[in-house]
Amino acid sequence: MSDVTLSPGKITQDLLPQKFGKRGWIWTGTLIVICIIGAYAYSLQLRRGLVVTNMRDYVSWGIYISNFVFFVAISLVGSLITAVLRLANVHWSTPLTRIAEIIATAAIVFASIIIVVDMGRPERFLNLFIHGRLQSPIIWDVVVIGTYFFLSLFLLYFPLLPDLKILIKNKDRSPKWLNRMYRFMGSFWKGTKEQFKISDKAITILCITIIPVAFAIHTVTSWLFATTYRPGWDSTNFGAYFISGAFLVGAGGVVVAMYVFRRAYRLEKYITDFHFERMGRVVVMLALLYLYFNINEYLIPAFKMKKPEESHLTNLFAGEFAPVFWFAILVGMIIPIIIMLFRRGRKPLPMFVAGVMVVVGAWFKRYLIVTPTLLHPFLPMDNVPEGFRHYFPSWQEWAIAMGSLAGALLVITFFARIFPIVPIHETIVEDETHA
Amino acid sequence: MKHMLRINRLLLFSLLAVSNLCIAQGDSTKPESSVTIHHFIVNNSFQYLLIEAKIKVNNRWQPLKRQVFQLYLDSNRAENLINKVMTDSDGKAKAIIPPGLKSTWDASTTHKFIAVAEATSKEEETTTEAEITKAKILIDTSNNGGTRTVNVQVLKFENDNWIALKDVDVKIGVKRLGGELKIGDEETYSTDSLGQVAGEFKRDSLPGDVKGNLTLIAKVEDNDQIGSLSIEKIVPWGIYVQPVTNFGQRALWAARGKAPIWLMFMAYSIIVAVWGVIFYLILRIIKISRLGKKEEKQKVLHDVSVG
Repeated sequence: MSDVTLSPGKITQDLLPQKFGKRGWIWTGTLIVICIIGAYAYSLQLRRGLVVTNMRDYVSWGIYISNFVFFVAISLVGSLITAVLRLANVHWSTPLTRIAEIIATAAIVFASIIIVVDMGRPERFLNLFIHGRLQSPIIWDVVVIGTYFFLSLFLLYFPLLPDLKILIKNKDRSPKWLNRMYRFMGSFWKGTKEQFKISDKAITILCITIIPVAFAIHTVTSWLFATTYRPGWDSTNFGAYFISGAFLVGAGGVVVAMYVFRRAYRLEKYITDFHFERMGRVVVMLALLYLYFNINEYLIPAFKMKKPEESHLTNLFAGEFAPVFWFAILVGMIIPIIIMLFRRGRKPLPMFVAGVMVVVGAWFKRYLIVTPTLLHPFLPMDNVPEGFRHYFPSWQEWAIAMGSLAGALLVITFFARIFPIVPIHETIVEDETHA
Repeated sequence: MKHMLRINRLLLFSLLAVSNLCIAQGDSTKPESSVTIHHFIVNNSFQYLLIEAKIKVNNRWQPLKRQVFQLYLDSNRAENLINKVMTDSDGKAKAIIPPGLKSTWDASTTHKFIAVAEATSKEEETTTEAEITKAKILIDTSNNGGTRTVNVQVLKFENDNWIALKDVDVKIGVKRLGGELKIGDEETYSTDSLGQVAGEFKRDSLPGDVKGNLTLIAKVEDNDQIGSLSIEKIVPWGIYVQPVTNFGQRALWAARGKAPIWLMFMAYSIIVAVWGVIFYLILRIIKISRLGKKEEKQKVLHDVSVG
C-alpha cells in the first residue's frame, strides 16, 4: 500500500473487478484460440492415440509430464505467499495473496488435466482409483493433488467471503448473472463478529494444513522420479531440490502477475514499488537456494562421473541438451539473481523481466529433468529405430502443452474479471490499521 | 654374347620379381578364411552341427557374419542336404540333423559332414569337410560305503559292434545355473582300455531342485574321432532347499491388497487427518451460512418490529 491513506469507498471502487478493455479482449481471445488449437490437437490424439506424439519406447514422458511438473511447482506459491507469510505475520503480502492463490488453483487444475492428457487411454482414468496400489508414488500423487486442490480452493474462498459482500453491495457494477453467482457464493456473509471469528480461525487452520500438503505434493512428484533408478533421477535430494525450485517459479510467476495486473488494472497504489522490492528479495533468496541445490545435483555426480551417468551428464553439459541446460541455469537463475541483487533491479519493470526469465527458465528446467534421463537408460539402445534415440515434441504435443498453459492463464484472467484480484476487505482493514 | 646372356638374366630376374609382386598383391586382396564343423550328440539321440566361420582382416581373426552354408551328410547331393544356414554376428550357425537322414546315418559307421559356403560377389564357393565315427556315451552311478561315484563309458561303433574307446578325455560335472560344476578335483578323466572312467562325487551339501535332485553331466568335447558327446543323469544327491518366497506377503512390491501395514497406517492416518480438516472447513462454511441466515432473520424481525 502507498503511504497515502485512502478511503474505503475509494479502495472499493479501485479494486472492484473491471471490464475487459481492448487489450483485455485481445489477450483473452488469443488465449482462447490457443486453447482451441490445443483441444483440436487433443481430439486428434484421442482418435489416433499417443502415436501422434513423438513419445516412443524410451521417452515415454515428454513435455506433458514436464508441463505437469511445472504446474505442480508453480502451484506451491499459494502456500508460500498466503500460508507461510500469513503465519509469519508478514502484512506486506496482503495484496498478493489472491494472485498467489488463483495461480495455485489454476495450476493444480491444469496439472490434473495434463496428467489425463498423458494417458493413452483416458477412459481408464477411474482405474487409478479402483485398482491403484497404495505402494505406488503415482497413487500418492493422485491423492495429494486432489487434496491440495480442495485446500487451495478453500484458501481462495474463505478470504473472498467479505469481498463477496462488497460485490453484492455494488451490484450495479456487474451483470445480472454475475450478481446471481455472487449471491449464491456469499449472500450468507453478513460480516458479523462471530462470522469473522470462525473465518479467521478456518484460514489459520488452512494455512497450517496447506504447508505440509504443499511440501508433500511436490516431494511426491519428485519421488515419481527419484524412486526410479536412472541417471539423473537417482538422488536422495530430489524432494528438497524440487520444492526449492517450485517456490522459485511460483514467486517468479507472482512477480509477473503483479506487474501485469498492476498495469492492466492501474493498481499502482495497491501493488507498489515496495511490494516489488520485497518480492525481489524473496525471489533472490529462492533463486540462490535453487542454484545451490542445482550445484549439488549436477556437480557431485559430475565429479564422480560414474560410467552409466557419464553420457547423460556430458549430454547436458556439452551435448545435445547443452543449449537448453545452460539457458535454464543462466536465464532461470543466475541472470535473475544478478538483476534482483541490486535495488534498481527490484523496480517493477526489471522485476517483471526477471520474473519472466525465472518462469521460462523453470519450464525448460522441468523439460531437462524429464527427457534427457529417459534418453540415457542403463542398457544400451540396440536395434531401435533412429527416432527412438532422440525426442522433439510433435506439433500436437506443443499445441496441447501450450493450450494447457493458455488454459491456466485463462482461468486467472476470468477470475480477475469476476473477482477482486486484490482483496478489498483486507486492504481496507490494513489501511485502517496503518492509519 | 656374354653381354646378351647378362641382359637375358636381368630380364628373367625382373620378370620373376614383378610376377612375385603381383602374386603377393593378389593374395593381399583375398582375405584368409576358416570354417570349422563341430558335431554334437546329446543324450545319444539328439544331434546337431555347429558351423564356426572366421575371416582374417588386418591380421586379426574376426567372425564371418551372414555367410550362407549348405550342409550335407556324406555327399553334397540334394537328398543328403541337412539344412541351409546363415552365420550370426558371432560367425556361428546351427543345424539339427533331420530324422529324414536316419537311413543314411544308419548305413555307415563313419560319416562325413560337408559345409558348402555359397559363392558371393567377393568369394568363390568353398567346401569344408569333417569326418566322425559313430559313438555313444553312457553314464551310471554307484555308492560304495557312502562314497558316491560317477561311472562313464565311451564307445564307438565299428563292425556292427560297440567297442570301447581308450584315451578319450571326459569331463564330469553337475549342472548349475549358468554353467557346470566339476564333481571332484579333476578337470578331465581319461578313459581306460574298457572306455571307462570313474569320478568320485565330492560335492556334498549341494542344493538341488525342488525334490533335492541334481543333474550330472558327462561330456566329450571336440574329439578328433568322435566329435562332441554329452549325457545327463538325474540323481537324488542334492539337498532339498525350501524355496524362500515372499510372494503373497505384505511388501512394497506386492499386489494392491498386500500393502504393508505400516504404509497403510501412515498413509491413511495422513489422509484421514487432512480430509478431516477439509470436512471441518465445510462444516465451518455451513456454520457461517447458518449464522448469516439467522442474522438476516433477526434483521427482518427487527425491521418489522420497528416498522
